[in-house]
Amino acid sequence: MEPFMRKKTVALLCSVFIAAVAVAGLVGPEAAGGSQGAAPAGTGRSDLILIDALSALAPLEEAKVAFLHDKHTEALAKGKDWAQKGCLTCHPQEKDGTMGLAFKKPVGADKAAARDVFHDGCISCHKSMAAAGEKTGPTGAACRDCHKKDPGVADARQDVVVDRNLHYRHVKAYEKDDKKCGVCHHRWDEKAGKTVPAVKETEVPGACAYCHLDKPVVQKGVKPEIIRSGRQAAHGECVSCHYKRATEPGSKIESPYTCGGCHDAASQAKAAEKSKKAAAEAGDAVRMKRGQPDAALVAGSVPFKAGAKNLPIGVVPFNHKAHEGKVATCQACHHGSLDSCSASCHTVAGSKKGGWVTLEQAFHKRDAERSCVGCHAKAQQAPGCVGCHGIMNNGKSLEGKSACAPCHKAVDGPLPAGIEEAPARQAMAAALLKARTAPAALTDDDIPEKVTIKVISDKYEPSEFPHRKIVRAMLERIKDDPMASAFHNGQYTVCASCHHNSPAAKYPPSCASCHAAADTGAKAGRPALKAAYHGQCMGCHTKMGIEGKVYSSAPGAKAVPANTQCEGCHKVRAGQAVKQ
Amino acid sequence: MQRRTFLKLIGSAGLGAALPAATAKAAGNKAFTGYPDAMGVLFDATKCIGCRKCEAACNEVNELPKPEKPFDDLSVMNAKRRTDAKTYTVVNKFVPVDGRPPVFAKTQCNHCQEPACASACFVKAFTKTPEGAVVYDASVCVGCRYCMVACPFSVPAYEYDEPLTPRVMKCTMCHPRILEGKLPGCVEICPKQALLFGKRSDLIKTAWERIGNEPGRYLPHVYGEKEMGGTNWLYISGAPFQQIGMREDLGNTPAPELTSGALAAVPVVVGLWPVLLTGIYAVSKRKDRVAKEEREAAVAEAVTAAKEKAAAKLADELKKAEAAGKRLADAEARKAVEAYKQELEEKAKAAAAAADESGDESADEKKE
Repeated sequence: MEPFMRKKTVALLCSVFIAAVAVAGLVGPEAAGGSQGAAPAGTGRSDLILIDALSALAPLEEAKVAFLHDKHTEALAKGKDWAQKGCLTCHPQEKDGTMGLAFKKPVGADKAAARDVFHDGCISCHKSMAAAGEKTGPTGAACRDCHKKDPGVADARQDVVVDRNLHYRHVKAYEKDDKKCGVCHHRWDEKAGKTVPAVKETEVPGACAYCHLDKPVVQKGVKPEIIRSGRQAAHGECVSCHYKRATEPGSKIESPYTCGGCHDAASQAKAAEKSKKAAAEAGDAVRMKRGQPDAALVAGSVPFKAGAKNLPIGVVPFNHKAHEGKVATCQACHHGSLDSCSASCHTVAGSKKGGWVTLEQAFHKRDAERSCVGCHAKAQQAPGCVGCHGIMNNGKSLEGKSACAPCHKAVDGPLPAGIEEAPARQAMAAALLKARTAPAALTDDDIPEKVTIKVISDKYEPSEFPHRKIVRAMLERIKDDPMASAFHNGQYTVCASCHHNSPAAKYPPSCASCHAAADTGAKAGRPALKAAYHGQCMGCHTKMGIEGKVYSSAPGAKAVPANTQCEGCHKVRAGQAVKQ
Repeated sequence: MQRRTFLKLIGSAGLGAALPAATAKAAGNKAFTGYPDAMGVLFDATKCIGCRKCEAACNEVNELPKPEKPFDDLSVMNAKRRTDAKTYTVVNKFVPVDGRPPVFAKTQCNHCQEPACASACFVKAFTKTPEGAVVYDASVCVGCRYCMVACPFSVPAYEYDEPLTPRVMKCTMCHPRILEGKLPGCVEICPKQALLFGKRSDLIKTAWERIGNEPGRYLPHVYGEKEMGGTNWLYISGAPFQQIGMREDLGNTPAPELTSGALAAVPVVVGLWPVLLTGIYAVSKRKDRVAKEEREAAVAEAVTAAKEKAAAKLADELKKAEAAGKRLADAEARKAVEAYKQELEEKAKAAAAAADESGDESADEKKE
């Protein structure tokens, strides 16, 4: 590339980027040099923009200007020009009619000119307002009026997630529009040589972020040559549309167009509440229908072939519909595109495109956010689950084949005819999911009421352990959790959290059969009985966050003993206590 | 001893003092990797609940004075405490992440594999026992408190209020109890087995097993495995050690190694100085003596030589004189002989003349 060309490209990129910084208010703190924790709590603002547009051209000579965008929108909205010009008071208009994100005009390669855009733009406006006797900002008397080292406000901007519920509200608003999905979603049309609205659901390429990445994508020889960054796309499209809809004569639509309207935690919570309500009323209509099945048979390294027998790891029927309701967006799993995971990225042996994450790891990587196991492990950190799962070895309740069984279902007999085709696979998956039955509930007979722990009682009296009460409390907590129901697939599975490392059974071996009464140190390889008991009880209480707190809702219920409150579980034996 | 041999010895000793690191390494314990069967304790900060039972048990088994506030008063943990002459161990409370549960950390002597206190002590009041404990012998202590300065963990404390027999006080890892086959007091009482007693080598294995099994729970660092050359008290934690009151700036070099160079020179210097000075004194003394002897010998020799020379000269003179005398005598004798001969010849001539006159007579007489 010739230097001139490179310069031009850089300048273009810079201007685009700077424009985003100057107006979007979406830029992360590291990119925009956002203030972090500079101000005391409660003074955080979601509209703080630190103007550093010139930093792309030369090192900054002055401190970045802390610009409060909403404050300016508010002030300008009172002006007489606003009704006519709106956002265009400050922002340029792009060719496609959307709002440009630069201030006045994109920053070019000339530093002095770029600086003057800001100085003239800001100061002239302030001056004219001051001349008119209006309250306004600094009029350029001193540099430090604007270029302050400490902006005095903290950045409290929240990222925007268009979740399933919020998406549904938009769907509903435009269900009668000709463009339907295409109001927001577009696709590149090779023939037309431009982006065209993706009218039908199945035409939608997927989430915006699949194409609009953190930074603008510049591709040579491939159209479109420049794909706007996520920030540019979101602000250009969303804000333009929101502003238009909100300011239409007689509009009753609440479509936020200020920074705080979308990025403020409080306004997000309010919107989420509203979306949730709308989604609840909609029922299944809330689903983003893009041709996905309700149930799918997940493909592994063993291809589905009619007549195949004794599949080594069985088949995994996947309840796609149920999972849709558990995540905010499709991206929770389909993070790069809506194509099959294994098609070109997470192939059986892995590929460069997929970061060499193999298909097996894409499903099972425990510390990944988007793998099945990773997401489930995260779910196990919920207060109701973490008591048991948190004290297990790395959250693993089971080892070996029994750990695979809840997902990998063994298939009796050969795979049916037509299994190579999607409908047959989906039918088989649905049948397998339907055939899944909840294990028999534990009866009082299964759960001893009290267990007296006395094997090692020495300085303390034996502990009267309210076994049944605790088991019932645990079961109560997870009774409505479909994931717990699906995975606690044996009658005694839940017993295994305390009675671990032995097959779940009605009469598990006593703790003392594995944990010696005396501490013999490291060579024992496992905790002695005292530590085993305390580890299980305290570990669970601590993980669940109920230690020292009243957990039961029953009237007059006592607090769960704090870890350091020995007498909460066992009385001090007379004359035996540790010297105090 | 030959002077040359002595100087050679002094020279090599001096070299030893000048290059202590090289020789101290060979002679010292730098390659010491700990007693193979040394015991230790593994503290797991993720298990500790901050009940202070260990503090109470320590106080009891070591018969330490009763503290101001009882051990079940957990409010004392609101301020950071340190060990003192009446407290061998303290548990401190830290909140590394606001809003998350506190993390507790126990402090006591870490029983370094190569203890700084022992290396600083010039009366050998500290001993690293093969069982792993670093123990103190008050009977030899002179109270210099160098150990307190040397300890990187600020553990040894001094009985400042003891007017007559102040001692340095610190955790002994319950060494007497270990010898009896018992657990250290704190380990035995711990309700959570947050303190695990065992062979140091086993503990390191256990620590890494725990870290490996639950990488989300622990940081991949066994404190004490390498710090200051390794300690017998080991720690694992989910919070950075710096955030739970532990120093992470100590490095992995054992304290003695940092000082062994200079300290190793001390005995050499102290031991050698008198020898060296005595030697130098002896050498200079001997030098004087030898010089004196040599001088005397030389004088004597010179005198003898002069005498001999004189005697020889005398003898020579005498000889010469004798010879001269002899020559003189000879000459005189010869002269006398000559004179005599001449006299005789003259006499004979006269006689002959006479005989001539009457020669015939004498010839006749001869014929006769």
